[in-house]
Amino acid sequence: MGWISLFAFFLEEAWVNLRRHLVASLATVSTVALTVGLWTSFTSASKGLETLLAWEGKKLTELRVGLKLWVKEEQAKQVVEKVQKLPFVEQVRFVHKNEALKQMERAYGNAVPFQELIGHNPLPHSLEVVCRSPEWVTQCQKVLKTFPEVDWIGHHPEAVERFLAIVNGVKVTGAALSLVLALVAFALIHNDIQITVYGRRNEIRIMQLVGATAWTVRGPLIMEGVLYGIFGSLLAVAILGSLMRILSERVPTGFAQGLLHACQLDSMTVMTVLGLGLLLAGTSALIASIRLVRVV
Amino acid sequence: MGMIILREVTVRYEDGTVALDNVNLTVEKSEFAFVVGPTGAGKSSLFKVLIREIVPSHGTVFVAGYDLTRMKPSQAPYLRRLVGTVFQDILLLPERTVWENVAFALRATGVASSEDKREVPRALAMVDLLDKAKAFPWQLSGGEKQKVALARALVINPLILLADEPTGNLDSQSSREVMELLLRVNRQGTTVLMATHDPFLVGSYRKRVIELNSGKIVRDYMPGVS
Ligand SMILES: Nc1ncnc2c1ncn2[C@@H]1O[C@H](COP(=O)(O)OP(=O)(O)OP(=O)(O)O)[C@@H](O)[C@H]1O
Ligand SMILES: [Mg+2]
Repeated sequence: MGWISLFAFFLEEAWVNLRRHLVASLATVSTVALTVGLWTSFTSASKGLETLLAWEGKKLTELRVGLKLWVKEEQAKQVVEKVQKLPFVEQVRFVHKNEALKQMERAYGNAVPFQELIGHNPLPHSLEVVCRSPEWVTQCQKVLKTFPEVDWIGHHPEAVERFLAIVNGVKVTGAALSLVLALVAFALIHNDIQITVYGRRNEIRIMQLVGATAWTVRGPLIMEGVLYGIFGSLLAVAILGSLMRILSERVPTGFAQGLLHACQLDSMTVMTVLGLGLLLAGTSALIASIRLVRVV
Repeated sequence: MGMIILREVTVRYEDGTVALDNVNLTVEKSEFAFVVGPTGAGKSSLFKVLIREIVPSHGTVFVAGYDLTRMKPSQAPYLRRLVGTVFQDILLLPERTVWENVAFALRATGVASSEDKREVPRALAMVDLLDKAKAFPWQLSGGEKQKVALARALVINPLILLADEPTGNLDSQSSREVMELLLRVNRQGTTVLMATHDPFLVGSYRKRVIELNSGKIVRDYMPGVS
């Protein structure tokens, strides 16, 4: 088949070209690896943080709502129903003031003379409200404050916001860094293709004279980019893989270990890295070859 | 209808140089013609027009049935598969053997590599160079290199062969050999145009001579006839 021969021809020519300027090629492969590697680690880190938030950070979606002292148990149950209907509320639980007292007892032991208070429990009834996600907590808080029965809301929304800010920061930094590196990779690949076009000027001239189409002339150049993509992503996978292994042996259990676990280098990630590398290097080479090889 | 037809063709380069000036020319299928004239006469420009490397500023050009003045640039490759070229500067690929240099043309035009073992020896046999198939260009004489270039042009079976001073750098013995090969190719039905400065070569063969000067055809004759 002519197509298979042509593909093999592109591959052979690209391999020869790539080796002709080996040092430049190695720099390009490393940059492609760095770009996709960094992008992947940042994305999986932010994804890992979000997963952790879902596991351990459940409490971050929880609000403790103290009702006013005059609110009777019956009225409190009505409030529960109203709160339940709010769109961003996952679930509501009514906490009787006696249960709250027992919780306090458990928390503070005998430091407070709780027994004496049983007769006239000074605590109000309260609610445990779980929001659908951490992003909704602030909004939920605002709405609950407008309820006349609500006295205070116990929570630290700053913690949630800080956590979300971290995740966002990781995302934005990763995206910005990757973008800069992608541009560097593009420039390097463009430069490599330019070197190749110069080194291949006789080949290109001969091809054009014997009647090669513009795309046949560009074929080896695009294939060179594809090779950069493949080698770059493989390098990235190798580095990420060994980095994970080393880290999981060194890092103590706890948060970091959990994060590491959430960032597993599974086959899906490997495919993504390969796809990204191919896309980045292939597109760069495609653009360079169209710019550098005109129809004549 | 002629294999090559030029009507009122004028080529003006960007700097204003007129390389061809109102040229009318017809070359029939299977003809052999010399293109002669002093340096700067427009011989190479004529050949560039015929492979659509340049488009005339005026006039019409038909080559092997293609209307070159109306052809889209993306069609030029298909024209060039019908119009083989060899030049004075031979342009072989130094890191490849004779065989690989010839096979390169097949690959570039999308021919499957399984065809190589039939097509490459056929082309090399046509230029008497079968025994040098494994040699590298630096192991060949100037004449042999030009024969490899010829084999590379012939391997894709062009209808027309344009040879622009193919013997320009060769001694008289090699020149004669290359000339004999061009005539052999012509006898097999290929239309051949050969630009040359060598009056002795032109005088030795009774073939049509198209003489250019300052972009104009000043003489077009068969020796010994007129
Ligand atoms: N790319 C170009 N731009 C401008 N002028 C050109 C270009 N190529 C050729 N010329 C001019 O066009 C004229 C014809 O050149 P051409 O190369 O066709 O002549 P020629 O007959 O092949 O000469 P020679 O025998 O030296 O090869 C000359 O005056 C040359 O200087
Ligand atoms: Mg010339």
